[in-house]
Amino acid sequence: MSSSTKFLTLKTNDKEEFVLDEAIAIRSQTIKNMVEDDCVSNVIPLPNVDSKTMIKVIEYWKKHSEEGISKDKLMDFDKAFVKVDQSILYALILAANFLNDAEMLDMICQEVANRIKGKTPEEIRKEFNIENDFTPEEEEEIRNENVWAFE
Amino acid sequence: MNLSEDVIFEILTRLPVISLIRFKCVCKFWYSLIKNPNFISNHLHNLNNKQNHLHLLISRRGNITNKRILSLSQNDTFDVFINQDFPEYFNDKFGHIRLIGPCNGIVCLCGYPDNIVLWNPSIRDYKILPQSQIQRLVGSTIRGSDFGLGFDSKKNDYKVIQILFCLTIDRVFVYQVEIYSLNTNSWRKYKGVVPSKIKYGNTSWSMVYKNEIFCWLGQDVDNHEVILSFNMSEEIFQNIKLPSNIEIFGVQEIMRSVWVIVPFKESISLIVYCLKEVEKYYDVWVINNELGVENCWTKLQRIGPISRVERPLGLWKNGELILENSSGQLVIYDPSNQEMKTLGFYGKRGRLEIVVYKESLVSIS
Repeated sequence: MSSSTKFLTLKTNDKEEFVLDEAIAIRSQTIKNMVEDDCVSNVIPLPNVDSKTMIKVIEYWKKHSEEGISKDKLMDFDKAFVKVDQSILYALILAANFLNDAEMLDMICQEVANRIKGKTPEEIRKEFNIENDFTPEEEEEIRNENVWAFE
Repeated sequence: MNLSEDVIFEILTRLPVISLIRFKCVCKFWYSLIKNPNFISNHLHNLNNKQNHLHLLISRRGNITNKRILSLSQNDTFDVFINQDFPEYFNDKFGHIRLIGPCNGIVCLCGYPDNIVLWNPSIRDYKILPQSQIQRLVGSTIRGSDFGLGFDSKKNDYKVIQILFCLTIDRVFVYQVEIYSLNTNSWRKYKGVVPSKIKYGNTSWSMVYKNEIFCWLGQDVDNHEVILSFNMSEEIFQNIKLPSNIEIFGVQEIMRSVWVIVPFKESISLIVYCLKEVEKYYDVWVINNELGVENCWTKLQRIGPISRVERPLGLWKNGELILENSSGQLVIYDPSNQEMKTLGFYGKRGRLEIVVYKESLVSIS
């Protein structure tokens, strides 16, 4: 281990602590900004991330920081990485959004998009817990504008 | 699961257009989000960055009915194509149609001069352009025309450029250039100079639109092949040099080489081949740097020999060549395994046109 390696301690909302190489942790723009602004004390609290999700995030960061790893290997890793339950996927989105990791956010949002693209509006409302605030007439009108999209 | 509005934004900007059109009736927030210009441009940007969201748009004429048929592939495999419905206007007014573009999901359909329609097939939206009222050169006759389509990011405007080939009373060919702006919904005369002639081959149209620059294959004043480019926001024509070391196929006059430009990934590709040879080779060149006057051309590969094929029509995402074969059928050839696949389309010979298309929510009407 080189003497220049710096470590950061990240604390999730369930009070778990993760000690991580700074070079890896700054894949998060949020952490990077904190480091650059010199406002890193001993422990960085991550109020929006639980430990179970953080383990996945770190797994992703470490793999994507591996030196000399091939594009194909990373693609295989990413494919396997997103093969998880919907609930874990959503937790990862919230984490990626809070940590401001654009690459990870893009990958997971794309996975969610792929999973929901064939659904009906009713299924979408159920999935995201959305209340339909259209009157039946209003909804009918919108559907009639684009009948072909519902065929 | 309740997701925040910015996360919903991120997910929705990665969906195909057809899903978004369906999801407009989920709730009022989603409806206004999907119609929001900022959302539309983010969606466009996300889709543009991904190579796997390609579609193939095909224009052909039926052998028996002679009717124009336009078909769009449902996805990036070629399993399902959907024939596009058109108002009668097209069949009444358009003898021959050319597909110009695409630009941000919009294709320009051009018939004779002054018969132009902007069309976004992914949202089934179209706009018939008003006829140009600009005075044409006195005593001249219009002998042909070419067109370009593009986006001016400075003015946030879509533009169509119409280049009329006019024969004057002194029997000299001159260009008259007119520019249409979608923002003003009107035409104006272009006062600048066109530095080269647009080449009108017997092979096919040849054009590319990239990074707000529209390109045609041209010939400069010394009769050298060049790319004639038009910058949509600067409104300036420029000549772009072709590679200096193109090999010419064949020795006899009749074995002549043909140049074609087609879009490839984020760049322009030049395809050189020999028209008359039975077994054909296609040399594929690409520009490596950003489009400018000085360009760095690289020869990507020589594809072939392939027999019973004619015009190259475009390149697919991994460099597969899309061609018309000798029986007027549309085929795709994969040089990595030398496999040829028939796409199930044929039309009058020489009348097949394709556009490698990316969808968008951009509305023009």
